Order: sequence, then structure tokens, then C-alpha cells
Amino acid sequence: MTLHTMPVTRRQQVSTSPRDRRRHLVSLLVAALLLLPITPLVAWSFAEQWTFPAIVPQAWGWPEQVWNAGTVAAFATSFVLATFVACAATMLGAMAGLGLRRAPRAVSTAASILLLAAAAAPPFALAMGATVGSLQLGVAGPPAVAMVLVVLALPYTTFVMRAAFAGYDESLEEQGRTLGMTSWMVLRWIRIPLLLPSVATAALLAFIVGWSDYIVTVLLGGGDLITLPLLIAGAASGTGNEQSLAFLGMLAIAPPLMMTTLAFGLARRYLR
Amino acid sequence: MTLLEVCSLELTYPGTTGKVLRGASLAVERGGCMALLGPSGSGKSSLLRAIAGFETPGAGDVRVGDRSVTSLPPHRRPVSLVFQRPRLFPHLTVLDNVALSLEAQGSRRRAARSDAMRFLELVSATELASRRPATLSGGQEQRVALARALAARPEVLLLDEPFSGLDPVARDEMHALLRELRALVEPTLLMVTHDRSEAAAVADVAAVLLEGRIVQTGKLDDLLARPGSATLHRFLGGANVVRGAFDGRAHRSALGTLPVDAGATALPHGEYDLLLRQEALSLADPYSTMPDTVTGVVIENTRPGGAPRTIVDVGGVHLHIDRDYGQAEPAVGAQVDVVIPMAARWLVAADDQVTTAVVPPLHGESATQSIMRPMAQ
Repeated sequence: MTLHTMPVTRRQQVSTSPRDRRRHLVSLLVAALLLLPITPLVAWSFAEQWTFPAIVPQAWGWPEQVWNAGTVAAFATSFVLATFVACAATMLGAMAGLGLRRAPRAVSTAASILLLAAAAAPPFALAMGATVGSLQLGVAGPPAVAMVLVVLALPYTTFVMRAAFAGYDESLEEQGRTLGMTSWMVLRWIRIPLLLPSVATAALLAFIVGWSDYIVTVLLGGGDLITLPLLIAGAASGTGNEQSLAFLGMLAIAPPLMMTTLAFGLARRYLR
Repeated sequence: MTLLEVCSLELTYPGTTGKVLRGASLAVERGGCMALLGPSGSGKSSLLRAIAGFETPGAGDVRVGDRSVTSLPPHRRPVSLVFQRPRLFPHLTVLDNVALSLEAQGSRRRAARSDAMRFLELVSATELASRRPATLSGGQEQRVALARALAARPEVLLLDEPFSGLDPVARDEMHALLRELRALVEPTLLMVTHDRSEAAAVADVAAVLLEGRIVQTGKLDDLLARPGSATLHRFLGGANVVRGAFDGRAHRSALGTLPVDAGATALPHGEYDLLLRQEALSLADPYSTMPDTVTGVVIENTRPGGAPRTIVDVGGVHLHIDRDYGQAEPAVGAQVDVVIPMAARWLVAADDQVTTAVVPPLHGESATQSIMRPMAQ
């Protein structure tokens, strides 16, 4: 066996150049910065007693006071609301994104400025405006909350989907057609798989808008809609609720983290 | 037997007024390979897209076998198109790219993946099966694109300058592969190219498209030796066009009086361009006793495209002569004789009007200057 025909082992393939080592170091640093705020949250969630100046909790325990039917119901309500917002806003964002992609340049630029302004404006101001608008339309309660949240998520989903359509190579569909694919095959085998990572990203952003909302739910929910952020706000307003607050915070982090993992998984699967 | 027939195709793109195709017609034999030559903007790719069903012609017909496919959508036409860019599906492996083509024809997934391997074998790309398109070189991508197109089992395979983006070595490999494929599976091919050497390497016949019309078809050697006009001669790489008068026997120009093939004597007297392929001319020692020579002075030695060439001034006309590799380079300023064989002399009307013509074989019965008669009328 000559040198040129020798198989390369996996160990040999792992690069250990100084540049790669620096890259790994930066990755670790970023991961540490992201995980650092979560670490005390995890510790507090299961800390029955943790007083200054102890570095770790003095006593550990399950947060029984918040692990009840009310919390589960709030979690479920938040999840349903956020999922609805994600689905509706992504669908509308995809349509708007496609429209902007095909619109004349001037129209597309004007729409982009409007969307950016909406995304950059203070959330409270937007929420107040949308809330007043929906009340004037006579829509209130959970449907109104869902509707306003979809509107608030729309700039994000539209931006993501517009970028997705701009980067989408329509000539691949032409290639599919000349290989004998029907429109349905082209949709199933080419368009959907190629747009899926962007759709997942847009859905993730819309999900987070719906999942983390407090203002709109308070203003329009009329007390009928109890979501996880409302429970967190309640726990945060009292004293001595650190464990409950931390545990609810942990619950609030879980679904967006799972969605993020899913979106990245799809991106890795399809965008290599 | 003709498999692909394009009859008087006309095409205008929406929102434009000028016609891209103006009655383009051609025919490709079953199992044959036709190279479609033409300058940029002549309508080559548009013609292929119209055959594949991506453009709707305003008039004319596209027939495959004995049926018209003009009204069929692209996916129902028995043709596959390989584009200049390979357009592999980026989210699939090489194997799945080919298998998808088979699945589109109705194969089940497992069978399609198994059959796909055979098509990759055909293009010597089995080792690429598990790789993603992004990791392939240009030549590898085109191999896979060819395998994928063949997997669709088209009756006619259309190639739109598929090798133009490759380096010379990869391009030569692809030409060899295409020749192997032709021997193995005998596909019917119509290949767009603007490269004469590519056409010569792969195709049996060539057609030249100028301004939306097929102006000449025939074997490439015949097209090169007897183009229909000076413009066509220049497009096909011809470097020598000499304006002069034909008196029924000879062409009189700055080169002197050069007798022309007896077949041309039927041409009416008048002004004609004498077209001379630089490959057909040669240098001889001055005052040599060789027939068919003119004497001139060397003004330059060049290498256009790598081939050694000498430019000789003969009475104010600059004749380009390709030398053989290894042949001594004449000194600039030296007097030389240029051999212009009788068979290399080709007259076309000086008005440069091209009429649609099929060039008969060079050594066939009608391989004489008389083919030009309609053009001079």
C-alpha cells in the first residue's frame, strides 16, 4: 500500500491547527456565556434553602408549591397559544415574504422599512396600539390575544421567509420538472425540504413571541387566559418565592430550547 | 431514422418584441449526437428550453418519434435537459439525487436507490454515492447530473453547454465519458456548445444557429470546409476571407488569380469572398516548385489557442496559416510561399447572405462549389 492509497483514519481527520484550537476556545466561551445565567436558575429551582454567603444551596428539595395543576394548565395554555402564533404567523409571513420577493424593488424596500420599524419599536407601545385596535374592533379575550400576538410576530417571520425565498434556487424546480416530476413531487421533494430550515426558524421566532408575552395577555386576556409568563410575574412580585420563580423560569426555557434544537437540527440536516 | 424533429419553431419572450427563434428547424437521428453551435444570443439555449417545454413557441412543432410534444408540459415530455450548472439537489446525497429521478418515473424508493447505483456506475461515480453535492468538484457534479438525467430514461437528452464551466482536463474527461456513454447506451443527444473542438470531440453532426435560424447543418468537417457565408466562416474560427471577382474559372484578388474547382464554373460571374481555412494552408520554401502557391512576407508568428500560426502578407492580404507542431518558425520579414490547395478554396457570395442549407458530405458526389449556387442568386 502506497502513501497515496492509505486510508485516512478518523483521528487523522481531526484538525488540531492553532486556528482550529482558537475556534474551539471561542465556541466554549460563547457556550459558557449562554449557560452561565441558567446555572443559578437550575440551582435555585431545587434549593429549599440558600442564604448568603453560601455558594451552593444548604438544602435541596422539589418545588412542591408550584408543581400543581395550575402550573401545568398555564404551561399548556402558553404552549397552545405559542404554537398557534407560530403556525399562523409563519404561514402569513411566508405569503408576505413571497410577495415581497416578487414585488417591485420600491415596494419591497418600503415594506422592509415598515417591518423593521415594527420590530424596533418598544413592545409595550406596539402591544398597546394593537390592543386598542382589537378592542375597537370588538375582539377581546383569548382570540384577541392570539390575533395581536400573530401581528406582533409577523415582522420576524416575514423577514426570515423573505430571505429564505430570496436564497431559494427556483431553477432546481425546473430541473425536477425535466426529470419527470409533477408539481406535487416538486413541492414534496424539492421546495418543502429546501425551505424547511427557514420555516423552522421563522416558526421558532414566532413561537418565542407567543410563548414569552406578558403585556398583551394581561391587557386583552381579561383574566381568562393564565399563561406561564403571568405565573412568573406573579411569583416575581412577591418575596421569598425564589425557588418557585426559578422553577417556573426553567419551565419557560424548556420549549424554546427544544424548538431551537429542532430548528438547528433541520438546518444541519438540509443545509449541508 | 429521425427521433427528434424541430419544425419552424418561433419564440418570443413575453414583454419583448423581437423573436428569439425565427423558424428554427432541425432533425436528430435516433442514437445520434448533434452539436448546436452559435454565437452568444443566437437562441441556442432558448431552442433547448422550447424543446424541453419550458418555453411556449408562438409557432412550429416539436416531435419526438412520431408524435408531437409541443403541447405537453415539461414533465410529460420524453426529454431531459442537463443545464450548464449541474443543479444537483443540495439537500440530497448523490445517490438520492439519481434515485429521485427514478422515483419520478414511478420506481419504489428501495428499487430506485438500487438502480441509481447502476447509473452512477455508468458515469464512474459510485464512490461519490454518499456525498453531498456541495463537496463535489465541477466535473464530478456534471457526471452525477448526467447519471441523473439518464436515470429519467429520456428518449432525447438535451445538454446546454454542460462542460463550459470545467477546466480543460475535466472537460476532456467528460468528452471521453460522453463518447463511452454513446457507445454503451446510445442516447439521442442534442448538445449546445460554442466550442468547435467540443463539437468535434462528441458529435456526429453539427447545426449552426444564427439569429434564431438554423443556417447550416452537416458534419463538422464539412461545415468548416464549406461554410455558407463569410460570417459563418469567421464564427467557425476561419481566419481568411479574401474579397475578389470570379470570372467563371478563377477568383481574382490581391492574392492573384486562383483557379477554383471545376464545379464552381457554373456560378455566375461576380464578386465573391474566397474563404480559406488556416489549417488547410501550409508554408513552403520560397520559389519552391510546389503548385498552388502564392508568395508573401512573414509579418508575425503567434499562438492563438496554443496552436502555432504564421501570418503572411500577400499583396496586402494577411493570410493566417497554422503550422504543424515542431515545424520551424519562419523569421519575421522572410519571404515564403503559401500553399493554397485547390480543395481548400471555397467561394461565397460577397453580400454575406446566409441561406439555410444542408452541407453534403465533403467527398460525396455533390461536394463541389455548385452547392453555393442558390446563395449567389
